[in-house]
Formats: sequence, C-alpha cells, structure tokens
Amino acid sequence: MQYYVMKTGMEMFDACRAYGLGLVLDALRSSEQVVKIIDCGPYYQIEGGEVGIRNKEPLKGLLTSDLPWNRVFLTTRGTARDRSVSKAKDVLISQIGKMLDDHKDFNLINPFDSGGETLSQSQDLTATKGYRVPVRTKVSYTEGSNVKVPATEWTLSVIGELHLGVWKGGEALVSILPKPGFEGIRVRRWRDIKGSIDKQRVSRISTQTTLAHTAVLLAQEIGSRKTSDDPFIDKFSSLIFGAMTKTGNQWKPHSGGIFPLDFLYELLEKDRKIPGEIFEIWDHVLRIGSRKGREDISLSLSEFIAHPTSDSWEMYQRVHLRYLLDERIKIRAYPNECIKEVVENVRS
Amino acid sequence: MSEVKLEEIFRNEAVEDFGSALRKALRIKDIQDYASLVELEYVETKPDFAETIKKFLRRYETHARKLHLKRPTEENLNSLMGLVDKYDVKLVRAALISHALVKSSKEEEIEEEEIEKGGE
Repeated sequence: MQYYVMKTGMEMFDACRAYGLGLVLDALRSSEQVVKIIDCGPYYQIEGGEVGIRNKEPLKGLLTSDLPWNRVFLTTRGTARDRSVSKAKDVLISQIGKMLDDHKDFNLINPFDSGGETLSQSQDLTATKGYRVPVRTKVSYTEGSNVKVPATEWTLSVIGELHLGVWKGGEALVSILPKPGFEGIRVRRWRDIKGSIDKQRVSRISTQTTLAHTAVLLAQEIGSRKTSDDPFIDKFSSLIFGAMTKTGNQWKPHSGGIFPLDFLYELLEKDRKIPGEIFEIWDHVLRIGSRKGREDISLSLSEFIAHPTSDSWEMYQRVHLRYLLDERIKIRAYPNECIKEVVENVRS
Repeated sequence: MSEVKLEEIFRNEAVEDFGSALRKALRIKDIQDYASLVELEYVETKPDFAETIKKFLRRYETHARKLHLKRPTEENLNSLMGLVDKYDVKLVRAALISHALVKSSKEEEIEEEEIEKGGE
C-alpha cells in the first residue's frame, strides 16, 4: 500500500508529516513489511503494508508523556501547551480514518487556511509570526498572523517531530531532522539511529558546528549499519534545521535551512573501513574544537564538511596542522589512506 | 582548470616526495622548520613558489645531511615546477600541505625515534 504526502514548501513541516504518517503506518501495520519513506520531488511516498484501524491501542504509544513535548511546543506554555497535547491525542484517535484516506491520493493542503491548528515556530521556522507580513511599516503595529494547518496534518507533524526530531542546544537551540532522500529511508531504522545520536554530545560552538557534528555522527551510524547483514542503506539527502534563540521570555528564529549530506555519503559509498576512520577523526577533532580557545579547528572543519572545496580543505588543514605541531594538544593525524579518500572527494 | 581534482596532484610522485620531506621537516624535533610552512602557505605566484621551495631545500639539506634523511630528487623538483605550470600554485600548495597532515609511516616513525635517541 502506498501513501503520499504532498509538499507545501515548508521543509520541516513536510518531512515531519511524512515521518508522522510513516510512524502511524508502522504502529498499525498488520504484516511484517517495513515502512519506507521516499522523497519523490513534489511529494513524499510512504510505502507500507496493510493496516487495520479497528484496534487503536498501538496509536496511544505514539503520544506518550515521556516524549519531548516541551521542545515541539517550545513557544507555548502551561494550559496552552496542555491543550495542544490533548488536541493531538484526540485527533489521532478520532480522525485516524480520515488521516489515512487523505494520503491515499495526491491531496494538496492549504497551509494558510483560516481554520485548523496553529503551526508553531518550533514545528517549522517559517511558521514564525511576522515572517510573511510587514510588521513595522504598518500604521498600527501587529505581530503578524499565525499559520493554520488542518488538524490531521498538524497531528502527523507533531508525531513526526516528537519521535524523530533531534534537538541540540548551544549558541541556539537547534531542531534537526534528516530529510529522506530519493532512494528512501526506513522509519524504524532512523528511529534506532536517532536514539544513538540523541545520547551523544555535539560541538556547540555555532549552529554550523552542531550540524556538522550531528551529520558526522549520523554518517558514522549509517556506516556501522552498512557492515551489518542488511545491505539497505538509508539515504538522507540533507539535514533540515531550525535554530531558535531566547530573547527574554520569547523564542525567536535564529537561522534555518538545510545542511548537505552528499559529501558524507560520497565517502560512505566507496569503502567500508576507511570512512569509519575518517568520521572517527572528525568526531575527535570537533570535540577538541569544542573547548574555549580552540574554536578555529571546529569552525574550519564544519565549513569543509558543508562545502568540501579545495579552498575550505586548505583552510582546515592549515589549522589542523598547527594543532598537530603543538605538542600540548593530543590531536590525531590522518592515516595516508584516509587523507587520500578525503582528497579524492574534494571538489574543485 | 576547474576540472582538475586535488587528488591527481596529491597522488603525483613529485608531490609525494616533497610532501614527505615537508612532513619530516615539521615533525622531527631537531628540524621543526615552521618558517618553510608559513612561507608555503602564503605563496601565490610561480616565482614565489620557486623561491619558497629553494629556501626549504636549503634548510632541509643541512638537516638531511646531518640526520641522513632522504632528499627530494632533482627529477621530482622539475616535475613539481611542471605541475605548478600545468595547474596552479594554490592546488599544488594544498596538496603539499595535505601530505604534512598525514600520520608518519612506520619507517618514518622508526627513523624519527632513532634521530631522537641520537643514533643517526
């Protein structure tokens, strides 16, 4: 059985909906078939087995209290947050039939409809009030309007972000979600990988270092699974991120966008052992660069991981060499085969 | 020029030979020729590159004679300058520095240990 999630242009919201639907299908599936999400350009395709909605008990496990509700509803507090939590639970149980039916075909949704639930900034940075309307040039000041989305889509997005979003603090609080690629990913596998990434600390020097470190950990996890018996490799195309920073009592958007993963996948594709060693070195370097006064090395390495050109490589290797020659800091050098592999993938 | 991959230059025999010499010049405590590294990092033109290599070889020669180190060959020197003509100073420079970042091979480590023990 195939389901479709049409994209609205709000990257995080779209991917969360696809993940949410994938998780719902995984919870309700009556066969052993694994649920796979594929990016097909204008829509996400979700492949799964037959599902039965008579027994709704498995759905309750998707919205338990131990999940990071405070992150997903970061901008709401107290009773407003409680209302959102109970709304999500209610919609999931009462409208599950509609939720599945809406996605059996290519149905577009109108994210700027006046009805429905408010999409919060923490669910997608582009939903921030004041992004779409001029607020300062008006005669009377307004904060801008909320983005309202259909309750079923909003619930799917909440489920996706609750289970599969990665949150990392630092200069700003960053929500990170790997975007499924054209070859697809398995929902269960990503859930396992996410669990491992969540436990590890990452460089918090800047949003870029946080993203680069998360990307390296993700590549490490995928690489280690590549050597297992299952030959399927989850293909993520990029990391979608939204960083927020607190100003007084309010969370404001800091930066958002996508962080490319293609360079890390290029390294992963060729060999089994060498990329693992490269990612280990990068993890080690980013950790060394997390200390005060050593920011230059993590900043230059994360710039190289994001934009692997000969210029960024040269910039990074200069810094790394300085650390290597400084005996006070124990930093690893690259084995010859690792540096060959990296240099081979550097772009002109 | 944009088609050129850094890898091609990195794997070139002359670059490997000079890169290995640069690595030794930086890592062996008795040498630690940081001046050559700094000069190499900021070189932009072919005449400046030639001048930097000349200075590096002059400094390296003194230590190589004393510590019995392998020196880059004349043939490789010609090839290196040929690469600068063919590609660009920037890429050759980046490839050379990449070699300096490589972990020393087993033979080099033994060589370095012997030098440190004073058994040259």
